[in-house]
Amino acid sequence: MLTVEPELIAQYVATGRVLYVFRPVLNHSERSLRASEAAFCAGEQGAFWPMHERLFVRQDALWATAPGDFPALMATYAAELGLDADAFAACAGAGNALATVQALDAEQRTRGITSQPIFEIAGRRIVGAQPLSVFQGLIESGP
Amino acid sequence: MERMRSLLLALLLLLGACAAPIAQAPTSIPTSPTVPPAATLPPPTAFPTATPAPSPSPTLEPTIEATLEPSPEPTLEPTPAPPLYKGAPEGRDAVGAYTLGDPAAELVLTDYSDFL
Repeated sequence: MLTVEPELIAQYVATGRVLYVFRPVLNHSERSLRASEAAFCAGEQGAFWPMHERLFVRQDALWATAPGDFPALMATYAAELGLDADAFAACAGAGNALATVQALDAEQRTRGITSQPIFEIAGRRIVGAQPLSVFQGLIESGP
Repeated sequence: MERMRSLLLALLLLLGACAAPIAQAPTSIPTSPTVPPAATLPPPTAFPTATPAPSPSPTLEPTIEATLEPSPEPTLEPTPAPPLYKGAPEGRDAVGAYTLGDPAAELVLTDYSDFL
């Protein structure tokens, strides 16, 4: 999604035509949990989307990092984004962000969202990564 | 004696002659031309016949001043603007998912993804 997301944001989200919603799919156990939790904890400081971008850009590092080392890696990313380290750690320790992530995943699984990426727009579901033109066609056809 | 009477009579006549024009002067003042004729005056307005409101009871006292207190200073603080990411406002939806863009946008694109 990272390939087409910047264009979608520039053309349709920043212009007010589309509201973009991100819901985490937890298909890779502890790594997925901790990465999503980090994004939501960054969101507590108004930096969900910068962390979201960073996690996708550093996807190779996520795979290369042992699950037990994820908290340290996430703290490093938070520091790179200039977030409050104590607040970030407190968010992770509180477990609220993790609970939200898990609740979202559990709810959408009841609707058949078990793989990723999946997109929903204007009542249609698109499974798998798609070129920008597919999104453009759906958006231009209207609600 | 006869002469004194003649002098008095002459004096009275003289005084009468002097006083006569002064007494007639007011009758020569013309009436005001701005007063309209009686026929053009609007009909007289009847006075209201309603019974005048009774005067307030002497036991009632105004309470407005006693109960009104000075308005408190506004305590509402301006809502902080949401953080922007690439020109779009960040937010959250009703179930806690993060959103980007105008919540009132005509279309919603939901992205279900894993970071791995």
